[in-house]
Amino acid sequence: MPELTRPVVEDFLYHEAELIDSWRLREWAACFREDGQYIVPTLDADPETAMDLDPFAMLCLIADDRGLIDARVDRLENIRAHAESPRSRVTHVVANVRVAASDGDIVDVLSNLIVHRWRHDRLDTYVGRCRHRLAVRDGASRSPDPAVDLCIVERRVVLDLESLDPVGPLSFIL
Amino acid sequence: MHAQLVDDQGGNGLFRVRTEAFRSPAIFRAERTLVFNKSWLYVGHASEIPLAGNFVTRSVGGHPVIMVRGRDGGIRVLFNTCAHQSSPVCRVPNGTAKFFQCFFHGWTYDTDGSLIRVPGDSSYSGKFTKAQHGLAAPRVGSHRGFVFMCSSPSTPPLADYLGPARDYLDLIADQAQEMVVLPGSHKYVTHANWKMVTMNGNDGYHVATTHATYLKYLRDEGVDTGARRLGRRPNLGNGHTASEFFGGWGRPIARWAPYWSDDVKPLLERKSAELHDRFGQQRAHLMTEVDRNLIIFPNLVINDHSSIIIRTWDPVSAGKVVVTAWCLAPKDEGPKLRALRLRNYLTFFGPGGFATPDDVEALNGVQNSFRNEAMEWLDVSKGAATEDDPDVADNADENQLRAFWRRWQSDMAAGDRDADPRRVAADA
Repeated sequence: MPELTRPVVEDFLYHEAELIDSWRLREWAACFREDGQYIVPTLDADPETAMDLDPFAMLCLIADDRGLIDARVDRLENIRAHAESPRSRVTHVVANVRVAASDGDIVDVLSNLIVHRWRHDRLDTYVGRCRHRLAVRDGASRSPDPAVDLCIVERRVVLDLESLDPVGPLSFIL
Repeated sequence: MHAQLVDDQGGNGLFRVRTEAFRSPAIFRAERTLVFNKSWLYVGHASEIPLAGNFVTRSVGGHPVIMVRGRDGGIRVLFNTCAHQSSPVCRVPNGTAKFFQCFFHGWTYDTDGSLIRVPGDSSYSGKFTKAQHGLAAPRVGSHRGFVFMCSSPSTPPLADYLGPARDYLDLIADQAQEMVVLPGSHKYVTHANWKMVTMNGNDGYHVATTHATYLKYLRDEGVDTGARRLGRRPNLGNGHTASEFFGGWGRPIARWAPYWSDDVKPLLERKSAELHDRFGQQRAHLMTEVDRNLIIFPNLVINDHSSIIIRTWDPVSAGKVVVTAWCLAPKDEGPKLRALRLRNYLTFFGPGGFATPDDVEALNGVQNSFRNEAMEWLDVSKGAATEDDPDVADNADENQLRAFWRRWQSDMAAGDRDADPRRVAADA
């Protein structure tokens, strides 16, 4: 396994953010492992435990397994996804990146996330904490750029908002 | 006059509403008094506060309230406003309390709302008594765990207000020994008039186009959306309605669908058999096989179909509502069915779902259009000419919407009578 230092995982997170912001969502979905998950807990979840709650036992805002990640992208690629047709302009700012824990072939990466979303004359700002559970792909090419060989096992975004009152729905990729 | 905002041409088959009803701050203020303060409003579910001292705070019809379970086990709804100088006495969304203390000057209330401590109370005259200064409270009523409040002493009791809608709540409450609201809620804003949100919850017409991508998702999952069949659409009186249908999807209370794995099939068959034993063929069929939406006037919808969604909305202004939604489930359904229920819920519903954001987009656009006063009318006529024909059963007709508007018109007309100068003169 290549050494997953902070610069390596940062490259990966920046690449992922670029895919989302440029609406290359099929490529974004392909960043996930076959059993990868995309989780956004509800805003009333305890901030202390939101990173660890079981998304399939209680209500979340988003609890996608890989099949639903692909279904979400299918929907957003469809012109009849009215909430994103026309599409929002989205800008992710990824900061405070830390390699938090490493368990065998899996590494946990924490970051802070600010997402600006412009749509219908409104600028919404979403603020949260992100945890990427990353792994090296099976049969990875061992590219000279180790970030290329990574995939997402779980991407969890804990929003630090009390409600979605000041901002619109999560119709885009957070 | 408010009653003229609705143009109900009856047998002529036309029904329309003035857009002013969605736009006007004056009408919004009148609705607070004439609709929201006169109606029984959904507050929460008993399972949210299972133990003595458990509480939740929320805004209901514009009123900040605390729903709390007392030491006697009873559920109370208290206005979250200190009797001294109106500071909130509780400032967190939920928790467990032995008492509520207002931090402003230290007045302290029991969980039953009675005032138990006033710092420096020796300075008050003998005319001041703690008994007169408890937390104010609306009337409280509950049916099978669904807790409602009402600010008007003249509104009939909850049981009369709900009428036949009680039976539809029973069809949900009876699905298991214990039905509970799951942890986690959805709270989001729609920049629309609250009545558009109620109409949206009642509206079978918009599904095919607004939710085209959701229906496509279902087909991709293997759900036969062509199997969708229509059923009864009873008018339950008092503005309450239900619409029944067969959605093609899996129903986590005992209706398996081919897109679900085989290993949950025996679980669902066992639940179905239990419900048939307990309630008999006819009623169990309604619970296990029939999908339905229940609308309780003015601002509660319960979707009892691919999951159970309790959804209510709190109007903030003529053009803004805060929507809150919860998932109701059998407490003991087990992890497999729980996961399927949540998946059904989230793929359709909520700010991150495959359907709700498109509703929000539609309603926000409608409210934006209402700024144009040149557009005077909103049409709600679909199916009006065949409304009373029992052989016509099309959930895409707007019968349910007209039932809502007739109740709204009746409530608002009461205000017209109160404001009529001839009546004021006669009363004098």
